[in-house]
Amino acid sequence: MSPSYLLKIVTVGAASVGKTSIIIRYSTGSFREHYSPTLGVGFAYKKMEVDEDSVNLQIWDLGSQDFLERTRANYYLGAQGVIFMFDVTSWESLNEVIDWKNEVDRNLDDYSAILVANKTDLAMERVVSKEEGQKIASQLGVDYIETSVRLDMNVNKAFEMIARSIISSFH
Amino acid sequence: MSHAIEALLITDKGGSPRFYMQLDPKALNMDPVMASSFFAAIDMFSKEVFDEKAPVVQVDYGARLFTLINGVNTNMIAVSVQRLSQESIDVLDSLLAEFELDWLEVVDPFEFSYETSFVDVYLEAFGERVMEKLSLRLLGDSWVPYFTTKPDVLESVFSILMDYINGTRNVKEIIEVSGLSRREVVLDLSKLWAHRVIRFRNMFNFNDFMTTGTQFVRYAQATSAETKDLRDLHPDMAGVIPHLAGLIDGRRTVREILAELGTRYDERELLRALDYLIEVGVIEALTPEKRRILLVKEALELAIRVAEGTYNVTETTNALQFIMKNTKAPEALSQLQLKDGKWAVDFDFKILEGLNQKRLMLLFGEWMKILAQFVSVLNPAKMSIYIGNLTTVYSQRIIRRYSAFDLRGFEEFSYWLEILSTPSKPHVGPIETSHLQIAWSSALEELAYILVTRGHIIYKSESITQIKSASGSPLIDLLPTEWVGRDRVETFERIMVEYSTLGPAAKLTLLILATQRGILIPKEIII
Repeated sequence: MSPSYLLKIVTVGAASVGKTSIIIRYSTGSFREHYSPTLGVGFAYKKMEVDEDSVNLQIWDLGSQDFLERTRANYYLGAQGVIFMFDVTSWESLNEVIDWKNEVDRNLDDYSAILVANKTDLAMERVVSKEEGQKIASQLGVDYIETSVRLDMNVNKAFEMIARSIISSFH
Repeated sequence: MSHAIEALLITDKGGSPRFYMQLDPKALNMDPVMASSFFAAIDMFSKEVFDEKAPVVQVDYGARLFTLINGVNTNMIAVSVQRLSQESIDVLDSLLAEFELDWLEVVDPFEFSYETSFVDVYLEAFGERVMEKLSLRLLGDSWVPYFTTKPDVLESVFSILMDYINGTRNVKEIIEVSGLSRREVVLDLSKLWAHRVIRFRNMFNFNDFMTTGTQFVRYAQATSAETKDLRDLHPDMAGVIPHLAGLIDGRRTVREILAELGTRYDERELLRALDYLIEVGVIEALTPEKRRILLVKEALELAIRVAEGTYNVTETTNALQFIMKNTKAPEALSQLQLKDGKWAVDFDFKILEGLNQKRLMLLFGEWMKILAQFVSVLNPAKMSIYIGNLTTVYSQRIIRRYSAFDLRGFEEFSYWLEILSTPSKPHVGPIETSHLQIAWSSALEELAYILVTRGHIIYKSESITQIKSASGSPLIDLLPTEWVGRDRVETFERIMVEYSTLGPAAKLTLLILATQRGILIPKEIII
């Protein structure tokens, strides 16, 4: 019988890059039509199949405001995967990825991670190219994927990518 | 049929507008030419990014949702504030097919010179077809239709309301006087609207929050050209407007403004003055984004006042000043003002003039952050009392005054209060979610899902287990549809009552989540 995994992942990144939206899109299929900052921590889950394995993915949505750092620290515990996220229309959000990596490293010893570049549908406002995103991903030593939560592009693939990455680390 | 569509735009594949029509007379005007180029770019982009083109694409843009329907030779874009129903999308699909088949060749913008406005190539006959299938959105009983051209020269359109529209009768009165059914009146007004021979006055909702623009002061100056003109044209109105001026402050609704002046002036006179000021563009009803900003600013103002009562002015002032050091957004910082030794929020909306939707949404986030930080630096020893007092005030001043739409996202503040007031360490381990349904079949199920998932994180997992026992609901182990033999509504009510006892802020969370979803809360929780 194929194994069943319960995986805990966390999403981190600058404010308004789409962390809550990608989780809602993935877990419920709908798109949240308004922006609200997450204060504290959100939670969602979804069952998925990765090859022969059954995976129960539990996703913790960590609020990104600077004053929440102490609150966030509690919730990293036990996470096996991290989704770093930025917004392709914002240089600041890409630059902040390094700070987020440092925060995660302070709280987690061993984890798998991917870098997600969101809002690719905003083509005319885009300032960060795919190459620049990939460059940061390789600096961090993680895989890179571009998504549009609004257009439901590559969302499932992103979560599948992080799940595969965690499962492969078990072997 | 009822629908959420504010406006329709049809463009050809090259990005030129072919047809534009507003279905909601209150909706903001969109420039069809600019909008067409914008959507042509999206269309091209989607083709490049996706191997296959989806027939219907929905694009969220601030508080508006654009639904793009791909035709053979044209694209249709419907602008709405809510997600469109499948029924609406089917109607739009058939209208687009009809346009391509019967009307596309009739209207060719290239036959017109560049000096010709797009408005001049508007196709009334197709507009009438649109209105036959969709009709005007949200036609209010109090709206007063009036002709924009002399009725006796109307040759292109026949109306059964010709004798009843006189510029003073509202929709309700027209129905009463004409003896026609509401449906007949709505259809005929929709047709006249499609032919662009009528407009409406008195369109604002009594729950609209009204605010002034920078040019409004001209109507409060005795010697301005605007006041002089008004005195000549409408002398009564010129006398009323200065009395309205102090009440159109960005935080009062039309209903509240009328209540203030109702004993001194006739309501119709006040409404006419408001109509006039809207028409000349010096006052406006707050947009959905600005209503959300207003809500969180009011929440902060109340949080400050309640803190002064629960703690004292000095502690409250220190807390706010500490937070202001970390606030960078000038639009927010400049609206925190020291008055008579107390900090207060300035509700003037002129500071937001000209800002785009994205900036407005970020400012909403900034105000939420200020609010959350403010309560987090108050003395935790009195936090439970403070939250209790705040819940009572919010129940009256926020939850009852604002719409469910305005409350979107405000629950995050309540979750934050729950976290602040819960002494136990947060739950960070795996959560039992074996059968809890994510695709809810009812608002109650969605509410239960949110309470259980978010509740697990805020409170100890055992607290949620206790709710399960107390409510007699399997909650997590079985789908609600499988609760055989249980009164489901009663069980959900029990869940709400039990949840409300978990912590001092749990009741506020319930009030917000239930109001957002139109759920009646049990009597025990009502404040």
